[in-house]
Amino acid sequence: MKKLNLKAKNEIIQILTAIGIALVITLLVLLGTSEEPFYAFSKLLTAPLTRMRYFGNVIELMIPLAFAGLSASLLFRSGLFNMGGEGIFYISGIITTILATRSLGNGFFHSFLVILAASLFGGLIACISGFFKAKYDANELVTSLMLNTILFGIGFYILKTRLKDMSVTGVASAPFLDTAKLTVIIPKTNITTGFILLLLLTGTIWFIYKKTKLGYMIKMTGINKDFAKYSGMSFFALTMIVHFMSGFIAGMGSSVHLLSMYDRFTWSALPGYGFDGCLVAMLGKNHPIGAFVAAFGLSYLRTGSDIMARSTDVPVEMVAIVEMVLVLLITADFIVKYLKRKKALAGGTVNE
Amino acid sequence: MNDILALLVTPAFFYAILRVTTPILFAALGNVISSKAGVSNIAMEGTMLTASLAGVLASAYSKSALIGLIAALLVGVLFSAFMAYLSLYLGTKVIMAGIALNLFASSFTVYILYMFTGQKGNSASLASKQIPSVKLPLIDKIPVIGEIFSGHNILVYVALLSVAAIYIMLNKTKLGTHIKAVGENPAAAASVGIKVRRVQFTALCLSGLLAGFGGAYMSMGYLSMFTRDMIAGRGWIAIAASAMGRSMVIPTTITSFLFGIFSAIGNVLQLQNIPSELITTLPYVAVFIGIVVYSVRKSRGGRS
Repeated sequence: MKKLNLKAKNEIIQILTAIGIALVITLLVLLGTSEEPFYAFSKLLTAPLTRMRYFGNVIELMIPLAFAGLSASLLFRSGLFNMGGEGIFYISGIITTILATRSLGNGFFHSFLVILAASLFGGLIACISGFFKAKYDANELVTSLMLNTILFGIGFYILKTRLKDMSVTGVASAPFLDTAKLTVIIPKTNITTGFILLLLLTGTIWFIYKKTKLGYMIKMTGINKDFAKYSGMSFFALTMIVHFMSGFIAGMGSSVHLLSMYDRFTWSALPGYGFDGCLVAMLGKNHPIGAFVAAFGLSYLRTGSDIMARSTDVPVEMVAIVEMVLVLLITADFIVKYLKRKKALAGGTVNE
Repeated sequence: MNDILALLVTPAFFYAILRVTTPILFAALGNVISSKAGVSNIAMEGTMLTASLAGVLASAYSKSALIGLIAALLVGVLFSAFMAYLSLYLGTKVIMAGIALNLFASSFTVYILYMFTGQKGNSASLASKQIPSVKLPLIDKIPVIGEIFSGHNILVYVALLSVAAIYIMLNKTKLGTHIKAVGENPAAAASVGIKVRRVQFTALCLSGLLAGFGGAYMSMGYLSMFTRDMIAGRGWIAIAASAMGRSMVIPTTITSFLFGIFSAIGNVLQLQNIPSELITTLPYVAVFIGIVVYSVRKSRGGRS
């Protein structure tokens, strides 16, 4: 137990150091490029807290990021580098649209059905890459990336030819029915029941990791990919289960996001949540609660930079610098190594 | 149908194949080198994007295409060196670093573009230079062949020459032998005195150099300016091509050309009233099927 605490302590120190360094670098960049660096810096850091609406924006944006992050972290944790979340977000969005624009019962039942269908579909789609990886060892990174573009092409084709609402300009579907949309739980924001769903999901994944054999297998396979084989479970089954779960979560994230924040489907490009999910997973160290916190942090940062961009001369893309510094410092283990070395030099025990 | 066929057998069509394959070929060859050393460089997309912006900015301010090209190559190498340092010395997984740097490049280039031009979409306001095209002597005079092979951007020929150069580098030089040894068995390589990390570092820098060529071609040859996210997935396709070519120079080159052929077919079909959304997925479907077929065959072969 003491060992675990020390490891957790080291990780917390590492994350705080990373945040500290990222903030210093941000300030330096602003000093170099902005006319009013300190004003911009304070906007970036504090603006989301100044109004309820802004803080609502943080949570609203956090929800799809967290779903995508949970989806990616499941795969990464089991050592699978699949980046197909992007395409699944899009195609599950199309499924959501098909069902959300049709009358299918009352408020609760309709949205439940839409989300379930989109999630199941996402899970099945993820199994395509999963199947070829599990059975034939086809590089899942490559197949999933190819699938992203293919799914987008198919989805956009369906949108343009079958779902397009001719009465609006641009490519957009017919409006979602009110019965499909999720209920707002905090007034004056767009925070919906989707947030509760996210909390439940995060808890479930945490439970699976912590308390079930499957969770243990996922973690151990990530550390040593032959583990599943030795311990009696087939690598095939594990890979398929992990892919299905990951796709299921991504599909759910897409559906929840659309039914919370959109009136109709308007994505005419891949939405970017799949790749952002990879960032969230990395920041959260492939841990469900880590992903939840990382999604909040990333969303806070992006909301802050968005507000900053509106009131200063700094473009919103500046946030990419902060994000990269954070991700790289958190995924690199040199701070932890440094802490260990310091401890070893001081005569303490080193926990490897 | 005959109309389409007629469009597909023209010299212009084959000329287009060379044109669209070039950036992919550069990046795919870059990925071959790093994969051979056992560290797959998946930051091709971001490296090319950053290099293409560097080329445009440097050429606009120096009024020289050559300086633009050098800047693009330098940035390509630096970008990869940074990733190599992170993954080889600071312990970030190379795939993680690659994903992060790709995402970073996508926004960072827009930020830099905005800082220099006040625009976020493209660099049209900058008088950036283009790398010139050349007519090949003699070949230019041959009917059909001349139309296909002559008159390309210099970098198209550089790409074709790099196929040979990298083949020789990997198979005939000491560096190539070291790269392959490190990739196949790092422990064995280290035991005979090869500096594993230094070789991997070099391989990643070389792959960055090639991505730099690819980026420079995109903004100073294929197009005459930088536009946001202009690499548009070519870096990923290149990685797929290298995976399909099993990280071998010649098969990877062939796969890159296959992709180029499907893209060029897509471009022709788009003019024929066939839904463009589906057509643009054609090359990706081809790569997907290619990878699956190869993996199925390999696993069958392994079992028997």
